[in-house]
Amino acid sequence: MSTIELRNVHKKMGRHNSLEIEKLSVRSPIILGLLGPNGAGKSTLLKLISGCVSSFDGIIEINGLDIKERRESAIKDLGSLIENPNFYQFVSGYQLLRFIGQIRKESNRMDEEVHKTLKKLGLSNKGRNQLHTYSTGEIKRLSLGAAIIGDPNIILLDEPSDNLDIFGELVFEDLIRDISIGEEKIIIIASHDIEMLEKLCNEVIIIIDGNIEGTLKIDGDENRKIITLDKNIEANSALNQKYEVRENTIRIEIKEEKELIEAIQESADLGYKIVNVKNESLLEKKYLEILKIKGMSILQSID
Amino acid sequence: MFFELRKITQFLTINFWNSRAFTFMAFLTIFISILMFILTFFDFNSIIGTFVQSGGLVINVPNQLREASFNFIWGNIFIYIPILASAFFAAGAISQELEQKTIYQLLSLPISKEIILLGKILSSFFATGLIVSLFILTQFISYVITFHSFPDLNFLTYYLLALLITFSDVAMGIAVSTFFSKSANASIAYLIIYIVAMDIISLIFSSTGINPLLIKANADRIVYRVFMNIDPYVLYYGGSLSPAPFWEIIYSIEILLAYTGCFLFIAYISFFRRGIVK
Repeated sequence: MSTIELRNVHKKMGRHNSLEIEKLSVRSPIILGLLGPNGAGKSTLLKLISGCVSSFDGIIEINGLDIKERRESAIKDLGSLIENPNFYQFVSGYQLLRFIGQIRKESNRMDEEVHKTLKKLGLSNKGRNQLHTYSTGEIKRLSLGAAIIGDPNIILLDEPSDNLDIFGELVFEDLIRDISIGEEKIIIIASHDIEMLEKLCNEVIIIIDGNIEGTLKIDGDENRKIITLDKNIEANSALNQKYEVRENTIRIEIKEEKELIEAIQESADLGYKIVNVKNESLLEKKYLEILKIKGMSILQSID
Repeated sequence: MFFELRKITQFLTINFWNSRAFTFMAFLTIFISILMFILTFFDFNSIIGTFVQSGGLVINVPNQLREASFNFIWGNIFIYIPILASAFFAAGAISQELEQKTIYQLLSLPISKEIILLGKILSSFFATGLIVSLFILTQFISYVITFHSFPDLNFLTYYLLALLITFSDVAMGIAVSTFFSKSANASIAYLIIYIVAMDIISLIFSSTGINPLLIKANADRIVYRVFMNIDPYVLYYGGSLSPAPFWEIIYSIEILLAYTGCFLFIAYISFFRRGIVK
């Protein structure tokens, strides 16, 4: 089993902010999301866990090994993608993955593994090209490959879906599902993308101003729906009395599908057009509540 | 440990060798070498005549002196090659990692930071050393064409000193590099320290009676003083048309080694103290 433990961790970020984590314990198997505004400390937390930063107070243990005292052994089984690297421009994708794979794991089948990874990433035909010929999205996919090559059990991904087109996003989601199935892995994903975090993660931690403000288990509850209408619902409307209404949306908890159909039918009968129907995001709801308490807006968080 | 060092050095060296900077530097070195060949092959007699006249000696120059002055002239130009190549390869070595954010990739690998730093130093040295060797190879070929014979043992001393100077330039470049997060700034700072600051300090030393050979830029010039013991930049310790005596070579080597050690120490401290998170 893989473990990550943080105790009383304090790290200054810039002049005024600092990351403060009293206790955080992560055990496999888990896909853990980190959600928070820019500058909240998500990347700093990943840099600390990955061993990039040694100047901090507190204790970080990876698989029981103190990262300050036994850094190399502690991060032996860890792969990461941090800060959208541009990579080395004049080596090929194959050379990059092979180098990282060989450092991470001694294996005489590394060539085979590199080819397999390039194939998974949809980069088989570009494997021998130098990296300056890759597009931004291809570099991003390759950097995901760099995080998973050598099959590490702990994988840290910082904004992995940034710069990915729809094909890249699908490749990424498949990749995460593929490497997490049936294995004792810890995958930590820091992202702004609430939808992606909800789709992939078992649990999400919300970080704001360097502090953990909340943790939410993603249990896949699809019983809360949001029906969006074409205009704001009138105050004296029958919908107002029956459902939870907010501006042009109806929020409804359903036990059976027919309750949803009934609400849609009632809205249509009252002359409203249905714009869309989607599951209510508990994560989004909780995140917005926390931001509101902190006096921030969602726009501030993703600026 | 050696496996990791070999792998990281090999990987970073390939990245250097395939880079446009390396191609540009190799092209520049070949271009300078061709100019030097034209200068020394076609105009050699007139140059040596002028040179000797200014020294107040007879124009009828013995062969041994002709050969020494040939290498001396090439050596005078050589001195700039490792400085420029290190500005490209070593001064950007760490700063570029920060600029491109590739440092996080390296630091999250299970390799010690010492190995990462050593890998950067060695790969920069291999890239710079290859450029330096290219120049010296051209000098060797030009010598053979000009004199129809091979140079004497001083040429080997010259090459070994050239490699030592290159290593110390690389160490200085890496040390400067650890203070910057933009490679262009690091390269400019390196060149300013080398070309401007060291010359000014050298003048201050000369005027105050301190041995200017203690300045690295002056100690570097031992590389061509193995042919003729004259330094056109510093006349503090006089000069002669004979090769520099053995003790002067050893003295310069000691100074260069001391500088190299200091630069490596600075690079080590700065690389380790630097908070990567900005």
